[in-house]
Amino acid sequence: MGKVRKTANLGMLLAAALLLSYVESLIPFGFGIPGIKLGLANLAVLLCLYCWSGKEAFALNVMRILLAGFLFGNLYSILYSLAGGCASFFVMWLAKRINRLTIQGISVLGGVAHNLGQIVVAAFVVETAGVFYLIPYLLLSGILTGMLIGFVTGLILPHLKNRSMEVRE
Amino acid sequence: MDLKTKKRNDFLLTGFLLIAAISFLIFQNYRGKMGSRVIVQQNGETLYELSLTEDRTGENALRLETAAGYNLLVIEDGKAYIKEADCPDKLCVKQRAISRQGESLICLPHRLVVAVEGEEKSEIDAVTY
Repeated sequence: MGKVRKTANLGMLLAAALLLSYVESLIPFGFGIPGIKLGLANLAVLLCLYCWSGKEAFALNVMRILLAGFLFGNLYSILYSLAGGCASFFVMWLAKRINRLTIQGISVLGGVAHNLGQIVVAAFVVETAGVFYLIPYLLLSGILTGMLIGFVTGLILPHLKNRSMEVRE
Repeated sequence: MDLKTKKRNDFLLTGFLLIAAISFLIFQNYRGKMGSRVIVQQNGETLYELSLTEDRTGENALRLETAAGYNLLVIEDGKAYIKEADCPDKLCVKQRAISRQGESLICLPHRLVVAVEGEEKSEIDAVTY
């Protein structure tokens, strides 16, 4: 794939990720538990991981967190998102390299890692281990949202393949 | 690795995580004895210790006004909850009332934690969660 084309595609994915972050900020989902999110933007990161490589997906992830954080959040929300985003990215990247799961399983791992990463940072910020009491709720929500996002990404991928994006499975 | 094996792995992984989460949840709900007091902490520093047996509603509710912001803590029928707050996400207000040891109310934007504890000071009880 040409360089220009890649730049254009990555830019498009970043825009999509940012938009998904915005849509997510409009959806009241969380049940009063800090750290629980739908993780819609993870869709774009997951797609990127399958269409290009870890490097591009990581850059996309960090950029959309910073952009979304400055636009719709604050310093603390950026801190939590970065922790969750990096944990989730690293786990998904590793799982994809090990290559023993489908996109579904990888997405579930990512969702769970995202929530656990956030709660660890939260424990440091509030300086209390009390937040670990939330772990089971975070696990459950990570599994559910991960399944959902994995399912949707699995639906989108074949269409990207048809449009001459290089999908590596 | 073929698709079928991968799908089986997906299933096993998800099942394992689900079981882990649910057993953790059950463990927490049944093990937790009723607490007798709540501790209000900000940035890891204890600001207040209140008894859960004394109601603090209406006028007597605890107004927590700190540099970070304002939260109104109410204790009613042995349960504590945050009634009002000026944090952006209001997640602390939406949280369920707490009464069992180890349960906590958390307001991340204000770095505030309200945790239930038992009679004697048992740091370990709080940490295991």
